[in-house]
Amino acid sequence: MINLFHLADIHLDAAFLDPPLPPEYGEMRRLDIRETVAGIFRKVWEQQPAAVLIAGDLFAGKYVTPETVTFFRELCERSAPVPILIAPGNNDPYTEDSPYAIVNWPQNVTIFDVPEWSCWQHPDLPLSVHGFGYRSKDTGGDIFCRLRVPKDGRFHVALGHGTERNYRQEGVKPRATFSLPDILQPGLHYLALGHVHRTVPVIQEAGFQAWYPGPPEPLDFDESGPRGFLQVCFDGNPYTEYSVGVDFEQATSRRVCEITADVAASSSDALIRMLQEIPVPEETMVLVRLAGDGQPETVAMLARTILGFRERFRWLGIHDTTRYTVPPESFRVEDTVYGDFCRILLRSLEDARDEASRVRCVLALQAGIAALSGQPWISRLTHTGER
Amino acid sequence: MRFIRARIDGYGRLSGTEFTFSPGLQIILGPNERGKSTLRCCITDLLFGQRQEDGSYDEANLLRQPWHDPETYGGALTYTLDNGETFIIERTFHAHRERISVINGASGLDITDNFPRLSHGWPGVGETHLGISRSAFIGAATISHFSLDDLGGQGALSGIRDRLLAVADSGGGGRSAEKALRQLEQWARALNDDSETRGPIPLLKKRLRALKDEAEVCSATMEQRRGILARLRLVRQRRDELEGQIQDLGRRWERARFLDRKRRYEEARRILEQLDEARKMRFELAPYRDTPIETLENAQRLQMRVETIRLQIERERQELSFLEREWEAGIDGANFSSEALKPIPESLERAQHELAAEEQRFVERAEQIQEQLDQVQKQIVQIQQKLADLPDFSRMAGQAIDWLSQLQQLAETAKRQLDQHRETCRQLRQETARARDAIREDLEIFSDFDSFADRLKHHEEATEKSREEKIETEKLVNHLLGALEESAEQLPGLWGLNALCAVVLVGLALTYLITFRLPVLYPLAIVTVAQAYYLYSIFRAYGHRRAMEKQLSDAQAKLDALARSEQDNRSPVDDMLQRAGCKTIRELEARYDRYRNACARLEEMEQQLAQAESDLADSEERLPRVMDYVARNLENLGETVSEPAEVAGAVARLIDRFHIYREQKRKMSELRNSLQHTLERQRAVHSALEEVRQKIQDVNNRMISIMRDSGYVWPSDEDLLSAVRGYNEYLNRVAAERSRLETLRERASALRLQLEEDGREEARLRAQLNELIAAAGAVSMDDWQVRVQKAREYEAWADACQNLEERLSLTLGRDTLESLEHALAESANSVIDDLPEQEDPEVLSVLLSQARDELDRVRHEESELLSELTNWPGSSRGPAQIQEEIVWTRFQLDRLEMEQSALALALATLEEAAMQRHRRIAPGLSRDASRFLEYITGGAHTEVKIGPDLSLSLRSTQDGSEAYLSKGALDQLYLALRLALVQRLSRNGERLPMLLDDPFANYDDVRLRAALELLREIGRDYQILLFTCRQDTARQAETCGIPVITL
Repeated sequence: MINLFHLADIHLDAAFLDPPLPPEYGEMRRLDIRETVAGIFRKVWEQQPAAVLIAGDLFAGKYVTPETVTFFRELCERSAPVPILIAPGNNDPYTEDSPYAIVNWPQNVTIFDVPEWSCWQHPDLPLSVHGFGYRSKDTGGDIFCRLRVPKDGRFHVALGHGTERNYRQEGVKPRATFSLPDILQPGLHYLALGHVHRTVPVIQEAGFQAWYPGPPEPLDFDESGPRGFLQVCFDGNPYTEYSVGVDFEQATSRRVCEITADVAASSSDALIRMLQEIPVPEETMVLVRLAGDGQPETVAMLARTILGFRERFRWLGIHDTTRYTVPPESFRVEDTVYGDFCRILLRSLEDARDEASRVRCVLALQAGIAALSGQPWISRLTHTGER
Repeated sequence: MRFIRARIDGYGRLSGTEFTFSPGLQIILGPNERGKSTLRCCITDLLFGQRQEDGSYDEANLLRQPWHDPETYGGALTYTLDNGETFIIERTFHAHRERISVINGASGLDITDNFPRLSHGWPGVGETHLGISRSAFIGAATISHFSLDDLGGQGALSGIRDRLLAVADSGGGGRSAEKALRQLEQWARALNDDSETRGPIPLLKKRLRALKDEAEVCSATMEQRRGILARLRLVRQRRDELEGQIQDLGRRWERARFLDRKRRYEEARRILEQLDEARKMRFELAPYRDTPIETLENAQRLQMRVETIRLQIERERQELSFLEREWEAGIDGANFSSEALKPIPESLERAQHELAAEEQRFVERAEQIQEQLDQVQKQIVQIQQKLADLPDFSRMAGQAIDWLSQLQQLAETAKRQLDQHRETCRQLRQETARARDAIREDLEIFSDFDSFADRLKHHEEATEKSREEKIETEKLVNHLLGALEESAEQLPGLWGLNALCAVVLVGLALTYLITFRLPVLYPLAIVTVAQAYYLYSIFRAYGHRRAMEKQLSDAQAKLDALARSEQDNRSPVDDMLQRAGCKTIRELEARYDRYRNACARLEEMEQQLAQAESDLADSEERLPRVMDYVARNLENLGETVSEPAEVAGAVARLIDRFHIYREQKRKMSELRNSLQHTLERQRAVHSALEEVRQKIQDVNNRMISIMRDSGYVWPSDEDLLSAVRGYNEYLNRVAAERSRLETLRERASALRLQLEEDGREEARLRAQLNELIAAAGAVSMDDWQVRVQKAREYEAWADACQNLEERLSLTLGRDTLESLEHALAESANSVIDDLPEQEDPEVLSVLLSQARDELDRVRHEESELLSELTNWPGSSRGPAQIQEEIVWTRFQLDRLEMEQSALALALATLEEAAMQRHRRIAPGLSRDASRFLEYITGGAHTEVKIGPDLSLSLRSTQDGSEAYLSKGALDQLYLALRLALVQRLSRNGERLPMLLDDPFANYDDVRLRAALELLREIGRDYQILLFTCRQDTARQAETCGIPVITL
């Protein structure tokens, strides 16, 4: 029996830029990723698989620090003699100044450093791994068509970073796009893929499987659900009878959750219910997006309600994208400076050509009306706790 | 808008009451806590509802619930708008069960849903009809006295100004624009405080700058570190290469050294053999060793020189004989005749050429002038022909155009006047007819009365009197009815008491009759007296009832009579109202005023029409006379006109012809001047030409004289110029021959001298040569050369021996032949054979040394790089964290800058709106407030100055200085300003009804009366409800004829 660990899209030292969040969130998450990877490599030491396959985006490109590279290198060194096979992806291509080129990697690490298939053979087991690596942000999609595996009595695995046509993700640019039939061929037993951030099989047949393991630690707030890596098991004789088994192994108990609340439609009670229903809150990072049309007072009230749950979760943040509407007091038509002020700005609002101009007019109306009425002016950042 | 009626079902202390309001000013009188403020609030609540603009419910409204029955909290308000429409709002007030219905007074339909819903969800009835919000109505239309902490001075004016601004800027429900601007500026400063220790925007910008610097530093640091790591990898690669290279060089050097030894040994053996051969040859040539070699060359050179001189002497002799022959031949042929051969001076020749050219120029010039003369004469003839075809304008000199224009203007003016007068007459006739049509209807209505105003006044007085009497009578009736009721209630009681007394009396009587006890008589007497009293009361009550009933019937009869007389009084006026289609007397009055104004305008127009017709007749008579005069004058100049419209064209044509005439005259004059000038030039040219020709003749004569004197004869058919040219050529030929012969003679002399010298030199050199040969020990030059050859061979062999010895020494180096042979024998077995043969061990040794040096350097560099990496100051933050904070800070900054931008927009807009509005209303406000204040103060203060920023100042009429104002005067000023401002607010929309809350607290009687009269005057256009608790105000109002409603 031949066991393999299949990982992908780890994104060590990733930057969390969208949506904009307080910087302590990113630092916390980067430490989480390291902790998860360390946990996986503990299992490598314990279980001593035949090889560890990393299908791209191990590092987060320009953000990776030498300390992180050193950290990972040490993990690999301590895992020896377990072979670590790495196929650089679009976020960590093999360039002259990449960690792959600079660092003196231990003997058990093999990096597929060219955008063409090359073959690594296990010295003791009937296992061959064919892999390719990115040298730039993208590589030709037809590379998957060019793989040819021999029927030589070995288990053949293809390792690569790319997008199968039926597994495109919204908002994510596809890389090395291919169709499964392009690579399907007798003699190929497993396709270890990376780039799609979900744990999902592309195909599951008795003699061949292709999987995306997804990131072992959730990166975006839409990556809900358990996260981990895949254990691939080859059993039998490739010539006669064999089986390919894939099991998901959870690598972290941490979760993410995103709630979108329309300020016009959602009530505080509904929001409170949604927050209370989140399971395992102490391990969950929650982002509440406030959206829709509303007034500052309403948004402030909802934000206060949400922030009251801060202590319940591992992390709780608010991203306010509400669209302020014209205050009803703007429509007073009296023959005073107040009325003139409102009329002028309402006309400017009608003539506004873009959202920024519209928001400016609405905020100016709110501020002016508040000043003329002797009321406080609620600013957007204050009420969401961002300032 | 005007309130008609307010029905209050329940509101505070008021319940089940109804108030009817009249147009204009009225007083609502009530002591304290009688419900004045309650009524005022109720009216506002009925019109606008109780919800705030933000939809919230003021809990204070609960305090206004009816005292007796909270379920009746509400009422109805009937009002009419300026356009005459009447509406009834009915509301039920409740925090959660509020209800409203709006009925159209004319149709009776429920129109509640026709009103737009405001933010609080309720229909905005008051907002729609008045165009202002609830808070603005409360702030603007409700006026109370202005309480001051300080008396007089600028502080009070400033306070009044602030109030004024609050009303003008936000309707009184909020702040003035000034305060609002200060607030906005404060918010803006809070965002962007320049001190950088506060203010989120500067802090965020500073942080962003710091983050960007940090990101750059981090990026540079990462780049440097990557560079170091890359460099380290390269250095290690190089180190490995060098170690391999050193190992390889070592092996190659061993082999090369072996081969080198072997080569040197063989080489040394060969050299030794060659050395022996060379020494042998040297020995054989030793006898010729001392032969002088260097002087042979000098002797050979001497020999060469001697030969050269000999050949030169021979050539010179040949040349000398040739020259002598040539000279003799030339002397025979030359002709050196006379000294009289003189050349023609250059100056003469030059003068001849110049004069010829000048003559040619003058000839050409004369031809040109003649052509010009012919052309000018031809043009003069053409102009004379043109002038003959034009009218003779010479009599008019330069005034023809003016005169013609005057003629044209005369005709046109006459025609234009006639047309204008005709048009004016037509328009006036039309307007007069229209005006007559317009007042026809009013004429029918108002012609029946001699004095409409008197009639109206009589009607009003009668109506007023009748109404007052009616009110009084109704009061009396109500009172009587009340009394009757009371009496009716009392009678049963009295009868009861009477019956009781009777029973008691009977009882007591019976008791006395039975017991005959004297004490029984006392109560009996008392009861008897009581009964008598009750009987008396009963009779009196009945009598009183009868009297009241009579009074009641009289009062009712009086009411009927009043109704009838009212009907009689009203009939004619009603008829007029009906015919005029007016609803109120005010409208009828207004219509009568319009009728009177229209009659006056019609009379004026008829006068204007008569004047216009007179002017028209004059114009019609004048035009033919003018045309006759103009036609005669134009005919003299060749143009015929019959109509005024033709005059302009004829004049234009004549003016054109005059222009042409004047132009031709001018040209004629110019041509004559030109002709004169050209003739003068022609004469001058002819004169100059003659002079030039004379000069040419003089020059030619002198040339001929010179040639003849020289004896030169030229052909007779040749001209002077060619002759001169031939003479010059002849002179040149003679001079050239003389020159050649002289040269030959000089050359022959020089050659003779040279020959002598060369002979002497030859002899000397021959002697010198013989001396050298003898010194060399030879007999001849040939012998000497053979000896020298042998000596050279000897030297060559000696050199060869020396070279071979040197080579041997080099080849062996520090070794000897024997040592080499020994070393070769020892190392023959250990040398590797698969290395290249031809390599220099020294070179390899150098390469090996260089490689070792480089390896040391590379190792040193590696250790330095490792040390640099080890001691690298780690960055406390990674690029991801820095970038996240940059994005986060940028996000916050963008939002704050948007807010800042919005505040700036709000500031600019509010400032501009306030400035424009204040500037616009200040003059009118000043005018109205001044008028009101003058009225109230009886002229004590006449001018309220209001600046464009609504700043106030008041001048004393006594000395023009800044007025010191008492508390009362300030109140009056405030009232004047508020009244003026409310009128301003109403100007573009519905007129606001005013609710005045005891504004006369500090007024004396005179000013109080003046204020009331002013309010009554304003009340002609606005409804004013004046709430007061003061009897003196009510009394003053009554004396002014202002209605008073008592609570």
